[in-house]
Amino acid sequence: MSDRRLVRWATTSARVAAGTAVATAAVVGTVVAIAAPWPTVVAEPVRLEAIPAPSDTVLACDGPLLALGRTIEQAGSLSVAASQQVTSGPGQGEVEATTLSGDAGSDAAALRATPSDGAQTPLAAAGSAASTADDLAGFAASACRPPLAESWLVAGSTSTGSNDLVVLGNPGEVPATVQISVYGAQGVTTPPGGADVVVPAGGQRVIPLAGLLLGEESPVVRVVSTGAPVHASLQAALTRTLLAGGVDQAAPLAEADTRLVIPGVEVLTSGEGDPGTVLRLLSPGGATTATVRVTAVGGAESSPPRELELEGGIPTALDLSGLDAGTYTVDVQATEPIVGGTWSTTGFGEGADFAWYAAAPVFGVESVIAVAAGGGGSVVVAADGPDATTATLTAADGSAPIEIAVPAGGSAAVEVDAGVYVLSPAAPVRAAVAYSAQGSLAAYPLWPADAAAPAVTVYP
Amino acid sequence: MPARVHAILVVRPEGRTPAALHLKRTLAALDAQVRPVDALTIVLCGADAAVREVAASSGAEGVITAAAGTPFAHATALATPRLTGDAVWLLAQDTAPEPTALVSLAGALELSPSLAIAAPKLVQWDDRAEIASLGISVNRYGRAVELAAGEFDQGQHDTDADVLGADVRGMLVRRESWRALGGLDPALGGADEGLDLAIRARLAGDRVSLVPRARIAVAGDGVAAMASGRRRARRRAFAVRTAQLHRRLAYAPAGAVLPHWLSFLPLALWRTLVHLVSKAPYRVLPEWGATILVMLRPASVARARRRIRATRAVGWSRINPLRVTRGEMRLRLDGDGSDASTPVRSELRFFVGGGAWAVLGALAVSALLFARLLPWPVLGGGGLVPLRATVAQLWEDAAWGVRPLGLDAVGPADPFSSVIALIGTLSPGDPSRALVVLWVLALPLAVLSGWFAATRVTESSLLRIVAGIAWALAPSFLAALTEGRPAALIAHLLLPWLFFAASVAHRSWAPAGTASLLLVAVLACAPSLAPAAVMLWSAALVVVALVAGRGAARVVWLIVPSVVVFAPLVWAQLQAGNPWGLLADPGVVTAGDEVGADPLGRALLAAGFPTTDPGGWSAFTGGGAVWWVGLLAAPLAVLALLSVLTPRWITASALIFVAATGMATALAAVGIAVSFDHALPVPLWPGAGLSLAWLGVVGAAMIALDAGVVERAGALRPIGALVTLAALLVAALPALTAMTPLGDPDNPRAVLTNGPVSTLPAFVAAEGRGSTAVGTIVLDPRSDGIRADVVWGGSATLSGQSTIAATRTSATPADRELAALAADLVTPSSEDVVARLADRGIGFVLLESAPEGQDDVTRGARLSAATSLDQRDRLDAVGTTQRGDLWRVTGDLQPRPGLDSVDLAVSRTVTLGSLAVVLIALLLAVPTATSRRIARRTPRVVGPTPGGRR
Repeated sequence: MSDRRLVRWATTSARVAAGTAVATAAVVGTVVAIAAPWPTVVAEPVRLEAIPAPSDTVLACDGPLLALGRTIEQAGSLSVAASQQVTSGPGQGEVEATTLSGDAGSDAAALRATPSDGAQTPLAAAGSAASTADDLAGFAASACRPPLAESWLVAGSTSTGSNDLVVLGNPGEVPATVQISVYGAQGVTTPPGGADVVVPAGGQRVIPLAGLLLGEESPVVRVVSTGAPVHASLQAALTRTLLAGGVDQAAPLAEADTRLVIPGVEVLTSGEGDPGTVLRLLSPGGATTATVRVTAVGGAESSPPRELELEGGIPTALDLSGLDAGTYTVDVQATEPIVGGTWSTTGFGEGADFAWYAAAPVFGVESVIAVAAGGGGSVVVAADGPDATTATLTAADGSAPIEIAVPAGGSAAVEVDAGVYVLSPAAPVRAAVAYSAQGSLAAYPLWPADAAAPAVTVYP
Repeated sequence: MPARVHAILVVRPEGRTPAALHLKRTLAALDAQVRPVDALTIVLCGADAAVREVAASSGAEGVITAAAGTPFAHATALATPRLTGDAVWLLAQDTAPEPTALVSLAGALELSPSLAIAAPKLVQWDDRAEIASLGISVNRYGRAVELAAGEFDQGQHDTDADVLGADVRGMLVRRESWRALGGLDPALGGADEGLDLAIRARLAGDRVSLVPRARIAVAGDGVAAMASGRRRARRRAFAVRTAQLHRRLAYAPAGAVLPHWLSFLPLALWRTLVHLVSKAPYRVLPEWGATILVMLRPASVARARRRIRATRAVGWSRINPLRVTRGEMRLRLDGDGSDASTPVRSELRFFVGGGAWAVLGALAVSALLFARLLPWPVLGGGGLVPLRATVAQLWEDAAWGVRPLGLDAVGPADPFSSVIALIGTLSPGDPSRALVVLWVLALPLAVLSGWFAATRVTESSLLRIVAGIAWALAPSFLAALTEGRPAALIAHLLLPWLFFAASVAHRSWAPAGTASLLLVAVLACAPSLAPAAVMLWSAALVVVALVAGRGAARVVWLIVPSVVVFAPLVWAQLQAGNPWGLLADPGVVTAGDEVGADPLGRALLAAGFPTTDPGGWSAFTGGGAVWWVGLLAAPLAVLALLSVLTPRWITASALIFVAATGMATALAAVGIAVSFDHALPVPLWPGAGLSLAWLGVVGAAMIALDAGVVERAGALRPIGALVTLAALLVAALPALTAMTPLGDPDNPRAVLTNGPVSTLPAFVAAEGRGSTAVGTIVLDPRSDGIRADVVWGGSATLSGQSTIAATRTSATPADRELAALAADLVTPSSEDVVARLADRGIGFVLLESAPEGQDDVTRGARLSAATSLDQRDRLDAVGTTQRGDLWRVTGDLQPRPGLDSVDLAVSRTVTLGSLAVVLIALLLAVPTATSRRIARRTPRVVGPTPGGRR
């Protein structure tokens, strides 16, 4: 082997060796890199909890009792049958009282309190009205409530003798456009009269329920508002042939829920063939089964639960008049969200009055409540949980607080005078104000004050 | 009649060893003179024992010791008082006269009484046939011009005698003249001393003559006149320029001094540009140094002018005939053009070799496959959003200042915004259209760039075309194309050009300048490549410094523009304490179909695919098995691995190293999530790293086919190329046909859409067109919180995106304000939040449409937000649009606050700094005739090529 060939052989060998080393390193490196646990860096985005500024406390009242078609010339015209006496308080801070001007000078009160010290100003109001006219007689009481984007009105009827009105008040600063849909025996409809109802800012609109769906025994009305939330209520009045059968202003439900509690339902009488107390239920979604328990106020023993099949979108009525006369709390549980209310009457003859009892939401925080003037007023508190609890009712005038002991699974009632109170439950409860006197029956559920606005998570 | 000659010998060792040797030879030469020196004075600058010994034994009449740094002019001035003879002979340690030198010089002075200075012929120290200097003149601008330096001495200049001036070394000056003229001018800084002395002598009415018979060998130590050698080019440039400017002021008529002085700074600026274009950036600093030095020395100028006035006897017109005329100058310049060395570089063969046809073919294919895109005005989907409507706004987005996203964001723009502005400027009427065209042209552009990069690897036309096509079929490129990732796409198109230029950056300044700009663009598009770039750059620097010896400065320059351009962004992110955010991909943050940071995802990456659906085959076949797609890159990988066994294994190993760096970048990228899309962390796009890896792999594979195939098996070359390309083509098929009706229509393989022309409702787009004055707060309530952002102008734009905003992990005061605004807007708060919006200049509120598959919580949050917004009496509901519900703020809006004076100053500094460095790089990159000629002397292919080239 000559020197030259030797050199060539050596360089080639070196080359092949180096090349093989590089290639092997590349392959081995890649395989190891695939299998190796590489470090990871995952950054956290900026996330801020922003506490929104507190909002004004806005309450809108139902307004006076209205009579429809009192004059022959204008069968569709409204007139004020009885004005509403409003109890409101506490008077701390700036409370701006305005009126929601309606179609027939039917001005309803609206209250607005700006926040003080970075928190919402507590404010409660309730109103009552009594009419003794021939065509419209009875006692009605209702709480003034914050307006809602969505309201359910489980009350009224459009059968003969009923004279029911959907009252929409807009205490806001921009007009609201309202869609009213009615659930009846035929399911849900959105009648032309209920589509795109414009409620002007600071105004009130009254829509006769009969104009929406005629001949419906058990309607349920859903009010959805865009632009601004509205306060919706339903004034139900009844005339039995020539006798005024009573009047009431029914409170709205804010949302459908799988559990409804209606405290303070008075069961007084049952007519011949006519039920004196009726529970109306609707499952707006799908079909469901509702379990109804009725418990007497003061007692803890519930009547045997009654199962009720609910068709989706079709209201169902349940006669409760088989009970002994007394005050009861109705508790409904369902597998799907439902809405409901109870109707009860003092009788079927002259001087009768009736009331619509709406479901009460969970009352979990200390809140100001208002009790409107009226005879036989009492605060009914039902336990929300299975345990016994207490609730304290403190009058705004500084008199001694009233302790309400709520039995486990039951409810308790205390008689109260008109005025403003602070209700502070030890555990979440459901509460209502009920009036029961001779020839006058009314009730409204108590809503807790809005909890302090929760922090909003913002990713800027 | 000069009876006596007094020699002044200046010795300045400056710590250099040859000084003593040079001095010995000089002294020996003096001893050997036919006509000996009558007196010798040695001026010793600095204490060097060896030199001192030699000087002591020289028989000099005196040895003057001076400070180490004493310049020649000062040293001669020190010896002047001791002068005894009739003539002064100016010598230095490195001037060895031939035996007859002095007799010739002295004879000339003897012969002609009007002669003040006799100058010898200076020849090289070790080659007496090469002239170092023989006569110096000036051109019409006063620049010193060597008349015969560097020429081969054939006696061609031996008849020249009458010259304007000469080199100071070896000059024999009549003593009266020397005294009258005041010796050398120290203000010249070492250059042009002989020329200046001669001009002053001529103005005094005397003559200056060359004595070509008198030869003196000079070594160029720099004791007298300027030192020779590349290493001292900067110092030489400084001295030459100083001398020229000083002479200009000294010689000018009194009235012209001030105009000249004023012209110095503009001149320096102009000459800076000239130095850059002529690829001599090392002269820039000396230029400014000399200019400033001369401008600050009015006393020296006055002294010089006084000296001329004192001795001047004749007018300047006597000088003029001796100047070099313009015609002579041109002749000399043209003479430089003759280039003895033959060009090594082969022809490019872009057209002949078929490269142009490959590009044309790719254009045809692209036009066919992406024909649907052509009529679209705006490209949407993925990371694609519209561009700003006007060119001015595009560049506004690219500058430091008010950012078009965010409540009051002020800060640096992503460098990617400048890239987008540049692309948008190509379509000034409708910038968004430029991206559509870019998408259609992407394939041919990729082939073109790949082809040019391949010219650095192979001389084979076939392999260049193969490399071009392989580059266009890169899975990372096609994924960027179908997933709508403009930054990754542009990076892939620029990478080969960067390789093309950077691989020869060490050779000359033109590619170094080009590569430095391309590196800025590539890093702007893919900041995740920065670690890889720094690593490769460091490796290149080490290799160049160790192996090539020259060009390290050019390699260092490569990253300078990137450092300057990215400096504001780096500063801002470091201030924000978020250095990881620097790696974030620019543009719209979009998760896309990226592989996960698990072994399966990394295996896909190693196979070259950045998406979970390799090449789009799963969508193409409607969910079929796709494991085999990962093997389609195998032929290329095998070729790349084989390349290290070929004779060109060094180049191949370097390319494998590039590939490994790119692959490591990609593997690391999938695990790094620093930017957020709607508050969800999105990992870095690994495609940029894969593109870099692809570059190395394709290059190495081409080397395997180029150098690894022996001539008698030449057919293997096209076969290997075809197999590789066919496999890649199969892998690329679904992506290439993504915009055609082929395949499963239910599984779209591309997210590209026609438009939208704005990310905001048309109402805002119309209102905000052409300005960024209109602000829109965009709210997006989701189940886990509200996303809030502020968009200025008619649309969020590609150039308006900011990685600083997209990556921030800690809340700024503006974030808190925005959060408070959003929270108050979506709740019925009583505070007048709309007034706060108006104060901020925000005119619109957009509640974004909920995404597909929203849950009840999201729907509820949206509904309550809409209700709250509806209740605001200063908000007019505009209506529901495709993009969501829109409200308009009524009443007066405060304009968005602009930049304050500090911000303005920062903005100007940043803009000027970036522009300056880009301008410098551009000037360096401009090819000149000289740079092209030099480039022709080097081969196209980089790296050692044993066995020759085909």
